[in-house]
Amino acid sequence: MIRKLLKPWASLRLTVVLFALSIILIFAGTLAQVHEGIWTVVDKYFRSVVVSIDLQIFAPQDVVKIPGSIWFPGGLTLGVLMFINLIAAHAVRFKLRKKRIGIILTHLGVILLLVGEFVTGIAAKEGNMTIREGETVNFVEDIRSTEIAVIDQSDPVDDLVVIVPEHFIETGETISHGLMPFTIKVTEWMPNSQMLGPMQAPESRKGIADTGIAKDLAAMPLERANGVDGSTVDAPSAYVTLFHGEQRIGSYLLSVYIDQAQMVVVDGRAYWIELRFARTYKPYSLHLMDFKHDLFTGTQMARNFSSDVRLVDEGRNVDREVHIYMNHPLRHAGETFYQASFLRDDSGTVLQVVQNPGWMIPYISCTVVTLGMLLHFGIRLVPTLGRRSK
Amino acid sequence: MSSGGFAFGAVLVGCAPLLFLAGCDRSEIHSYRVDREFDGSSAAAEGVAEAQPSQAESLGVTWSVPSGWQEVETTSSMRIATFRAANGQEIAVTAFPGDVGGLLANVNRWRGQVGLESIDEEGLGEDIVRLEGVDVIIVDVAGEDTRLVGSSINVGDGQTWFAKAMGPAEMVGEIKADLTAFSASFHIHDSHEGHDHGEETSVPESAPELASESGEDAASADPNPSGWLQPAEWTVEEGASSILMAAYLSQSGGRITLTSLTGEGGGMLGNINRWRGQLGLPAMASLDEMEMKDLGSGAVLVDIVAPDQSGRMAAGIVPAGGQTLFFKLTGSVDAVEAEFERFEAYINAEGLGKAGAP
Amino acid sequence: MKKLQQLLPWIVLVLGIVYAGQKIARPDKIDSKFDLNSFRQIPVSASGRTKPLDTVARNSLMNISGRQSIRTDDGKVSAIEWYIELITNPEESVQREVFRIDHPDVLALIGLDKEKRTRFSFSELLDSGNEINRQAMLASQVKAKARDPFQNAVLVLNQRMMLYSELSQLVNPYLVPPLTTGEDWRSFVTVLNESPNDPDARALLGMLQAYRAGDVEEFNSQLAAFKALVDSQITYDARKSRYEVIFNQAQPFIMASALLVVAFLFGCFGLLLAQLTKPEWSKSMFGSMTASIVVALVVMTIGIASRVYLQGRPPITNLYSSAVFIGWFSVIIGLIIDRQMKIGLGGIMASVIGFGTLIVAHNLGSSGDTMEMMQAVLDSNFWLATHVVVVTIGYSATFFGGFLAIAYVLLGVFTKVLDRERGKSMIKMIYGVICFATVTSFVGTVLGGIWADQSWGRFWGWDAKENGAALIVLWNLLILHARWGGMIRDRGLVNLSIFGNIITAWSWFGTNMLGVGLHSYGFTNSAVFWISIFVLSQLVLMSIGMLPVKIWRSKFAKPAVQPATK
Repeated sequence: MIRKLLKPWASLRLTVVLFALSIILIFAGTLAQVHEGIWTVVDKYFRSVVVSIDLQIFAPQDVVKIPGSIWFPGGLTLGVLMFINLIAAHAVRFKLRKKRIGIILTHLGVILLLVGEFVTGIAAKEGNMTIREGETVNFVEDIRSTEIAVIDQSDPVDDLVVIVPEHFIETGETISHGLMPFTIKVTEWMPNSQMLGPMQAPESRKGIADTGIAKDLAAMPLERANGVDGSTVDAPSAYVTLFHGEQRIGSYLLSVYIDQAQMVVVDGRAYWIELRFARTYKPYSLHLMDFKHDLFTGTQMARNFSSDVRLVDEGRNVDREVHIYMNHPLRHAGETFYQASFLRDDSGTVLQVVQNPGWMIPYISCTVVTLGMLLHFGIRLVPTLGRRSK
Repeated sequence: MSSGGFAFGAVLVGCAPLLFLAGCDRSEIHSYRVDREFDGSSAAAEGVAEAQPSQAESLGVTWSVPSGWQEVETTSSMRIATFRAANGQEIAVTAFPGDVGGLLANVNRWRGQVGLESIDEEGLGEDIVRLEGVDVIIVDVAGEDTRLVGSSINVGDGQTWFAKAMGPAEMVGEIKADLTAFSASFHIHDSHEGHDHGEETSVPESAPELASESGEDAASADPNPSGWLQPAEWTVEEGASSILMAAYLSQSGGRITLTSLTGEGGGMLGNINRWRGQLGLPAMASLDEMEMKDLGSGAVLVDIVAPDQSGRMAAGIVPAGGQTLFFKLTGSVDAVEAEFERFEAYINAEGLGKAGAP
Repeated sequence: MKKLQQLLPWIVLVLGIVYAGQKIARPDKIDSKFDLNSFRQIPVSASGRTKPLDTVARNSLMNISGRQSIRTDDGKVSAIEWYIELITNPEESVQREVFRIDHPDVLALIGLDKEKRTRFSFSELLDSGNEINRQAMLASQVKAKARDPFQNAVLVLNQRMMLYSELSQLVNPYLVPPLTTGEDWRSFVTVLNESPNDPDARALLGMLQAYRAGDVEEFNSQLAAFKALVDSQITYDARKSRYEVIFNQAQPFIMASALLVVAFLFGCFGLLLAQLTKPEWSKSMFGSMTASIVVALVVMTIGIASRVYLQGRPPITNLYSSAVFIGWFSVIIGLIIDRQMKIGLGGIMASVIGFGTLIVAHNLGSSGDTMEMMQAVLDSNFWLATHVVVVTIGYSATFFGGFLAIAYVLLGVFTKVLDRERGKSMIKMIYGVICFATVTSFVGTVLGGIWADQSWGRFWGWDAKENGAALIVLWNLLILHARWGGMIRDRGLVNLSIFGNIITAWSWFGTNMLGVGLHSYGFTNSAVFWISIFVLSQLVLMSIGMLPVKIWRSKFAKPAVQPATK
């Protein structure tokens, strides 16, 4: 009975169709990266159920204009369908025979691969650790999301930080919460922006903020970064007005470009507010002792980058020096730290911190698939080749 | 093999909730505690005070001005009055509601202003003197090149008054006695005696005083071993790379560096092209096409702007004996604009005035 | 007659070896009293790599002029002669017509559009130097992909003029070796200014002054002194330097291209003669073809091995070397298939693909040093040797399958060569090659994923090049599954294999041209045109392949052997 239900799902025709659809999806998802950032494309095309493909991506705009878009199954859908197709095929057709062992192994490996990518999609976390030489940092930043942090330093030792995640920040929104000492009214939210000095800013953008260290600067909105012009990171800014009850405290310019928190005085007490990349504090810290960046003589091409850091994790009794460089990451506490980039003038390092519980799955699956392929083709092809050479 | 079918069914069912998880990423407003990352206490104390300026006029607080002191126009909107003593030292009078964070906070604030570290209660005794008969505390703190003598005065009008003199140690020392007497003379007067206490204001004083009050000589213990003069508006950059002989940050965010390389340091054309490359410009074939300002004695000044206006660099190249000095001012187009004149002056003073140093 | 037929392949083999051998073993000496042969072996540092002056001279001239020598009325001027004249005798050198300019608008810009030639001298260009520079500045402000041909041409010209100036000012390359191994190379100008008594600098200066003055003895003795100094200061392997000079001259890949063309001709003759039922001559032709291919393969192998030796890296490090490798591997596959198929098709395909990829490589290598240094992130010999090599083998195999399919279509539609047996045999070959391509492209792609995971923590990033590789794997899988499911038969297999060529070309080149992603380290401009031509050609071939079987001249129903004997 189940067999009958499964039969259409097990067909090879479906497999071929799914392959063809995947090829089209991947091709479109590659062309789309010309105009959109890779993360946007990955979310839109490969980790989605459906995607609306803009037909213009198939041709350059100045050569021919193609209006409209079509709906297409997304990566998640195709992955799940392939998954079903594979399992059904095995349930319905495949008998466990020695001849089939190659194919069974191969398909098993493919199933694992699909599962692995799925797990990565939902569970992997990536972030950056930017450390200047001599600095110690104990948090990871997610450069694809920001937060407003309100800091209360009244405690003699610790800071009490209230976090407003990015999705609360929208133009016109009022943010208030029991934890916050004041209310934030967002007068303008710019998901990507640039900062201009007092002489560069147009008149219309001057003086919007009247309080804080950035009041003489101006922020202008920009198109979201699409990774093509070189910038892959959105640098948001916001104009906010702060209120304490009915009383207006002042209007501030908050921005990820501003490196320090700005002071807000409420009722004789000072608080600090800043817009920054979303942070996750870690139980360990990294201290950058030295960052080396060698170039090939007489060129601007990088020969190597490396960071000498000191990892301190009291909870795990770890205090040691580590040398992180290209192709040689640091692994600690389930996270991996890669040498990703560096600050201008070699003043600091940028490490990519990746937490991926499913990291081992692709390794296993690829071994299994390769084994399966070699077995299958080995068993099948060798006799055929032998016959032909006569 | 129906077991395959069950497996497939189980997997599907198991996967479904994960699909929902994948879409969920909404966190709420929350809070946590972390180790202190920056010390905002001194700025806080000042800011809190400044955010609530007081109106001294209506309360009729008065004082007697020592002979030799002249009242001058108050430049800052926060001050109630400003005086200048005979030797030129300025004394500033301010007042704020409440106790402005308390004595310790004020002492630490002033300590910070002369470049000293904060202290705790126990160390307080060393810096302060309590006057008899009046509620006045005299604070005397001295940093490396600056001394601050100030008084914290309580006349009972619900505010704390301050008289502060900050400057070179000798000058300040000369007026200390007068300032003490002046502070002791504060009292509430019932009748209006027509003191002009300056303007009322609602805009807090902005930038920290550090930059404008740093002394003229930038001597030891800074990355400027040659003792060259830096314009007062620039502050020394902490932790600058040791290759740089001097590194400063201007208030507008521009960065000024000075390096000295032996010989030609790679040649003018080579360096100019390297800088052009850093700003995204193509290299030039020869120096002839480069717009440069001749500063005399073989020195030149070039101004390079990135084509997309994302950055600008003014650079001075000064041959000096067996070396070449490279002065670089980098920053946004604005920042460089703001500092250009000062930068050029600096080059003229340092590079050309001191050719052959250090 | 029979003897000649049998001997011909051997004659060809011997001739081929002699041709190749004499180019390698007998480097052409420069006819000059000045010891330029030693001069060009001097090691210098340019673009981060230590190489002989000969390489710098050739690459620079190639970059500026499109050739590695200058043709004048008095004969050929070699690259090194041009170079030394450039640095010692600029007044003469600027008159040499070396700058190659093709774009008519650029020529108009400098007022030389009425000339019939394509090469111009620096002095002719210098008059318009400011204008060229201004145009280049304007062009540089436009995003690379949005530039029109004029802007690209003027930028290229500006860059070439810069290179010329840098060479003449002795800023590039770094001529002065480090005082001890491990330190950096120094620019001649800097050293002369800062330590005028530096022995290396003095020797160099003496050399150059002597050349300018025409003093042969002085030049040669200063040269010898300099070489001795260099040897004592750095542990640079002088043998490598000499070898690289020989390698530069031998130009193994150009030799191999020539040999492959010869092979192709032999192969075509072989086919033709087979049709004209002259089996003995046909065999002789095929034998000669094989001989040429074998010599070509040996030369290519020596070339690739030389590159590995000189660079100290696995064979594939950039687009140029990937092209060379694809050519090499295709030739190997071709020879193997040739043994199986016996109608010489393998060899013909090998020579076509080999020659084609070498032409591609030649065009890729025209802008400079093909043995350039690798960026930090790619700097891993292990992964370069495994992932890159395997995935390139996968590309080669997919191409080979596609080209076999093309042969099947062309022969099947336009000739009678493919009878039932031969047809089946070819299909089996194509199928086998596609299977091989599937395994290698999959394994290669996976290795790439593992490298990415080790390097930046992401096994699969949906990067353009990663996607391209995935497309090849998926397409090959699609072909196999469609065949297993009975959805396609012989013609389907063949046509889909031809389409595989399009997908492989996309993955190899197209993804680089998008300019996105972590893999965009090879960007070419005119490539867009050629790739479009290629894609069109494949589509045309596919449509021919889709013609109804009735129209095909080869009749697959008829077996080669008469029915009676079956």
